[in-house]
Amino acid sequence: MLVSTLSIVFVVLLLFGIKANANFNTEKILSLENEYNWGNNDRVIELSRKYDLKSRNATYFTNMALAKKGRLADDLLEFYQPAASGLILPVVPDENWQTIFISNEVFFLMGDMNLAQHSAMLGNTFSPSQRSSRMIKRLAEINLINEDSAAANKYLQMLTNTLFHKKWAEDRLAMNHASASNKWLTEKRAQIPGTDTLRKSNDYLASLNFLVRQKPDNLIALDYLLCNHLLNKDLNAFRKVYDQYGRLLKRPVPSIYSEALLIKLYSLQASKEEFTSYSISPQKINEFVAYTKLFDQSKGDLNALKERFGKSYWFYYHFATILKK
Amino acid sequence: MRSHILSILVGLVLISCSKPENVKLIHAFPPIYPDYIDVTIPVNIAPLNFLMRNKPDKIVVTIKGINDSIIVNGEQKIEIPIKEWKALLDSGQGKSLSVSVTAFLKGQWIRYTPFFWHVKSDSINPYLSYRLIEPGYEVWNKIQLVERDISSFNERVIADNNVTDGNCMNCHIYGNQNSSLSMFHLRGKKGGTILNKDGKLRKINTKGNGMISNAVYGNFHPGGRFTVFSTNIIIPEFHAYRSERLEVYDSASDLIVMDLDQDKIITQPFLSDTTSLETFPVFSSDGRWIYYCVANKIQLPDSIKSLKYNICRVGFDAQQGTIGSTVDTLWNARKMNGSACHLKTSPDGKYLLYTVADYGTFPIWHREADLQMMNLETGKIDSLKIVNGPNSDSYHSWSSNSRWFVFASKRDDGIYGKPYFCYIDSAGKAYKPFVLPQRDPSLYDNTLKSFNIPELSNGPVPFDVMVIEQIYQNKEAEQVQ
Repeated sequence: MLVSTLSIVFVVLLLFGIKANANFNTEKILSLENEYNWGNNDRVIELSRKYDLKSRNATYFTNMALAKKGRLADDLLEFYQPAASGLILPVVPDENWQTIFISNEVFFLMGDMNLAQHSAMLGNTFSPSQRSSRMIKRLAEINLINEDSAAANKYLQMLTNTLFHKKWAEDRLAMNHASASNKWLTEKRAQIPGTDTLRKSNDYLASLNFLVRQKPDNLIALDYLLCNHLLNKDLNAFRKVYDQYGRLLKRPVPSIYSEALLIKLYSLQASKEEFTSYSISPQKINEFVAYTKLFDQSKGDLNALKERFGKSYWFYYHFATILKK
Repeated sequence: MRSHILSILVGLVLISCSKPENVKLIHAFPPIYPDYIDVTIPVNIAPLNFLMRNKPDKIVVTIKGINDSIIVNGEQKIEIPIKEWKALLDSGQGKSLSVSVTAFLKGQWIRYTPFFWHVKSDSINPYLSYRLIEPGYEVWNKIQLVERDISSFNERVIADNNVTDGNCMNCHIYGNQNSSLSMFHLRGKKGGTILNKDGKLRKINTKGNGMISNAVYGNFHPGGRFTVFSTNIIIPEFHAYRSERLEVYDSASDLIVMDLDQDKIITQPFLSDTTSLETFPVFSSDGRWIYYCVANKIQLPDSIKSLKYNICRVGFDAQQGTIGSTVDTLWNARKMNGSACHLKTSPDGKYLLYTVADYGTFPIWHREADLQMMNLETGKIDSLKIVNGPNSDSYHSWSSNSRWFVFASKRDDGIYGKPYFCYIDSAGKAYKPFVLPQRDPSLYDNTLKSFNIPELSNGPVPFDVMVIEQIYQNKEAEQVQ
């Protein structure tokens, strides 16, 4: 009897302790991070919808999963967007180590191997004990992609001495020594710019512009650049990049881009031919007409527009306030 | 199952106890790391422990001098007993030790071609300081200044940015390799240049009126009263192409001399104008000259690959405390098609050691960066082919007898710098360098730290982490005029 009472008290105290001390939002972000790392992009998107976190770091994983699925420019505003800060995380002294730790992912995704390396090295330095197997794996991958076999070898050899990463490292060591490349390496190497430039580590726009200029078919970098302009409400910059690179792509105009283009073209009082040349779907044009009508009728009332258009770029453009740090 | 385990155990015991027999000779050097094959070493160096890259089950290493020898057994690496090692070096001065490696590999004993360690009686300064830092380009987290006794494996931390609010610490340099005359810069609000002179520590704010920055790269006058510094506005930027990593350049830089007795700055207008970039100044061993690097100011970063630094010198009068006005160019960057940096004059006055990269002023991420040595009497340049590796070789420091220098090399992996020692004989001939020995030779494989700016000294410095913390937290910086 005493034992079972003590057990109940213990369980209650345990639950109370967890409830009082655990940070469930952090746990949720960690679950997004975990799913992203395993390549479960659908799961990341599904969990993002379920959690509906108002967190920059959560948005960061959501955006990357969307970009990998080719859905960033369509579904961007389905999720919380703290202006453009959920696209690329800053690597600066006043950031916490967890943010620095994950900051390399987006650079790696876009093919900016040098900034990925910079962030991964800092991620390792700032991690507890300054030694993270995940960062070492990332550094090995980056150097494999860059064909810097001596550096890759350094990191891979370190991992061969670990229990959990030995097999992973041995597989990559074989890649490092093999003359024939594998699919993953070929794809990642194709992202690497063919020429050089110099940019500051936090000048993300310069980096994105360079990546797109070098490889206009780098869709992920292009979408990140365009979405960055949109989230910062810089429609001039958006249209310039879209006209130069976006229009060349053989894909239907993504939803958010259509909405942004309609605002821009409408404000410029563009000709019918110009509207037509962007191949924006008639349905989107009808929605824009409906939005404009409702906006006028409600005299710009946020609540009147939110239900139907709350996930549109028009709504974001009208009502989102960008706070400058 | 039990019998299986038993037979494995018996097998292991037999291997560990067995002496090499039916040894197969092969005509190749053993695949050892670090590369200590046929290197020239000082009589006072720590044991050259090494490991085998081909992972044998067992190795037997015989180190043979004229009269004595040491036999060391190991599995994949060896740790040479320090007492026997010192005795062997003492008796082997001026001679060569033969090193024979026999390895039990895939059920067969094999003996490799022996190699040699050439022991020089010219000793090297017994202490080495370096900055241990992750090569993360812009690191503000964990930096330590470390001092190592290079005749043993003893190491101690002399400054740690964990107790100085995480601020950056620049590298520690000595005057005349004297541990009673050294300095380093502590950055941050409570920072300053920490000057260690004759057992007294000072914290100095080196940014005087009209200076573009605090003191950056510097060197002591042989008399100890003056230091020469560059002041630099440093811009770090990132490359985008493959393994090109970081580029650091100066948008402005000048040259000053500081009188440490009077806390006074001495300069010359042409060394602080806006048309040229001056950096990496050092005094000559007699103190009569200042050698420095200088480049014309150009559009940066656009023209970074055209940024090439000459080596020049200007006179210095220590009696009057004045800098001369006539500049000699010793090394013309255009003609040499390179860019010089990190000048270091040998204490005997004969040589100038420097790094040459294709361009710029930050060679540590330049794969092509190599050391060169100029004979200051003849002007002849030695490209030091036997010294340089496939990656950056830079940041060097002389031993006080001018027979040795230490430098940071990224030759293994292109990322992590390690201290290498090189012997220069009395005729100026350089010999194959060797890396700082470690008790566990796999340390370099497993470390994620770079050994930055290795500097030799004749003894331990008279301060430690706690003393530096006290000075950082509690002492006001003295202001130079």
